[in-house]
Amino acid sequence: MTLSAPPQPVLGREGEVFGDPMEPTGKRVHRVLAAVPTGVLWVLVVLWTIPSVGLLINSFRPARDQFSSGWWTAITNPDFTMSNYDRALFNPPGGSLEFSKAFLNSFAIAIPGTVVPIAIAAAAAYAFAWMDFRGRHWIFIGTITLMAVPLQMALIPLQQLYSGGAHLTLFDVTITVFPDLDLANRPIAVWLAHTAFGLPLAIYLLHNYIASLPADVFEAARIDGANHFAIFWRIVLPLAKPALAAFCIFQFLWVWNDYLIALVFLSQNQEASPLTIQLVNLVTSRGQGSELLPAAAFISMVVPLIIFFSLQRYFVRGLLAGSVKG
Amino acid sequence: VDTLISTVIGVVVSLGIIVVLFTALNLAIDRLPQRWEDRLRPWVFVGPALLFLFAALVVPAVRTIVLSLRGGRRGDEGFTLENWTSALQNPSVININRADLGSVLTSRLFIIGVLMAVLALVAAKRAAGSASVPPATGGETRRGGGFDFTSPLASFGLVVAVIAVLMALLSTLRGIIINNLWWVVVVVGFSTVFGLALAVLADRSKGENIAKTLIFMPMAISLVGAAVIWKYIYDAPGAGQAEGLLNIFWPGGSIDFVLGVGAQGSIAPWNNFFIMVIMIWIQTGFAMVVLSASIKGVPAELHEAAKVDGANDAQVFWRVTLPQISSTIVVVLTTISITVLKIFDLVKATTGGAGGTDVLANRMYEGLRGGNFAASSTFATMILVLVLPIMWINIRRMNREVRA
Repeated sequence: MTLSAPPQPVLGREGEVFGDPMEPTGKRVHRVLAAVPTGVLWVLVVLWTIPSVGLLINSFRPARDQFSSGWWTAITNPDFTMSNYDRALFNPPGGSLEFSKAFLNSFAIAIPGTVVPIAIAAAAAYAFAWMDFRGRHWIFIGTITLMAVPLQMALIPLQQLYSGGAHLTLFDVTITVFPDLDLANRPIAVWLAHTAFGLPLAIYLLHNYIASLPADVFEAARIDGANHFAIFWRIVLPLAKPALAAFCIFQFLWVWNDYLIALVFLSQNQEASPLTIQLVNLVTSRGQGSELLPAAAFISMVVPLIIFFSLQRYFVRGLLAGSVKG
Repeated sequence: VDTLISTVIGVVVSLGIIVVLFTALNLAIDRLPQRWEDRLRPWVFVGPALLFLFAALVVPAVRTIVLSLRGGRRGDEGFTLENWTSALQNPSVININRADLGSVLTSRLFIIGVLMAVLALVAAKRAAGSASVPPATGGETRRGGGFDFTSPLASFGLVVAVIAVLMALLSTLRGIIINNLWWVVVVVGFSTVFGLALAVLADRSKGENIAKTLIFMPMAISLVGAAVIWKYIYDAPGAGQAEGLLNIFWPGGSIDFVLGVGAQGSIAPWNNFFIMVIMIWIQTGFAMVVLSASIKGVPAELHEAAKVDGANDAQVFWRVTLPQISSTIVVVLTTISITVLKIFDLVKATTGGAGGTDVLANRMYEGLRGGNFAASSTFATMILVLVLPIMWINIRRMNREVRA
């Protein structure tokens, strides 16, 4: 399938280019062949969609049906209920956190985890694009290189920082660089980490956009006596809205969908844990309430899907502008 | 409600601190003499970002490397290479057995790979003999004197041969490092090829946007969610477990495809492949979207010029379109490689590393959870080492981009 796919569209285009009215037979052949790539395309689309459809169907099936027959049998033998959603949201088994609460917890991490990095990154991106200072080029390269550093490299020291602070001992004198604020197992521990991990991409994305703004705009403002601070607030931020939106969507989905960082910094605090953690807890609970799993998975996906389908344009823009995040 | 209120307060307070500090520093700088103003203001703009990055990424990364070189579970003893030597000598981490290497040469996959390579060579030789496209059409990518690997048959043969030989090698070797490499080869290879095929197939066909949206959709959801979605494709029927779709095609119909165990015996190590399929399902959409944008950016005049010169559509694709989008293909390859090398969520949510599916990032997490920081840091640093070559490619590309 993979291997025979690429040359086929070729036939499709041939139909258009060589579809000469002087050759009616050839034209007909080409028209038939031109339909082949479209056919292959839709076969692949259906294949790609089947798993999600299966989950959606199972999420509405009663436990007894889920465990006794495959989801595909529901097409001929429909029997649907909302009780899985009801129980997952408000009454999960075994004293685990309600998904309605986990849903809010996900927002409590994803909103600051999106807004705070963008505020910090916008200023830096403007400076890298339009201000002159020593080492600008290499500091910028260094910053965006950090996108590719696996965040696993930061987890252990960050955890130690959160639960013990940072202290520097020089010649018997201990200086506290970062006080022990007891941040571990609080939502702030998670979104602070996301702020740092999101910064390189934010700076890269915003820099590309801000650097492409026309120079005359800045010239004119400077002649009018505006300094960098005024230009940044009054000109750059309003003009950079599309890039800000693109990053916001990208980062929000990233933080919302994150599992590892929340697991490391928040797993001891059930009450504050986001959807991804609760979902995996349900997967590994083996048996206990596993009929709620499809509904719970959908609850965790509904916000990303709404964002995706309504703001896809911005999401794609963010993806194209910075497709190197680590 | 409590969660919402504290979130709003948190956002307002943190944004407030940032804005007030930023404004205050800028107003203070306004009062300085011009020389100092010009010198200091850039650092007010980049300072907060650099401080954050330094404290939360750069210093921790260096600390992690140092921890991997220290003795004691918490890394509080002297410098030693023991973490590395014991990890690399552990057969569960990497196990290269000479006898196994010998059996690679007689494995079916290897033989298929060699046959395909021969086929590719023959096709390339013939294509070179009958090459009719004048070099003027641009994008000529002939390699070697008498071989032309840009013909469809030759290039497919070559790709299949390389994938088959790599898979023959990787399915014989064992260990989590090998698993990670296997992930890169399979996921990066298939996602890019599928993504390119879909981008070309969808280009200018009816319902292009709907088709692309549906293929792209998995990119929006979490890896954990994706793992749950695929449970209903892979699971074996059992107590408290729904039957997965694939089992209706499987003799006996009772295999757990991700753990690789069933009534009919084990499918190891191919169960790894079924977890990789989930990642291919996700990353294909990414590759498709990025490559599709790039294909649409190829100037139409290039196609037309090639057509005028008598190139057929296959030749236009292999010799005009493909060379034009080659830099985007590199971006796709490197981006997916970096993502895949750190793969954690999918393995954790499907098998938890059981059934021979463990990967570096999962070991890293296990070490962290178990308080074995030295071992954990070693696994984290191993991921970094594997990522370094890709980072180097990225740095060079970005350096060119920024200077341009």
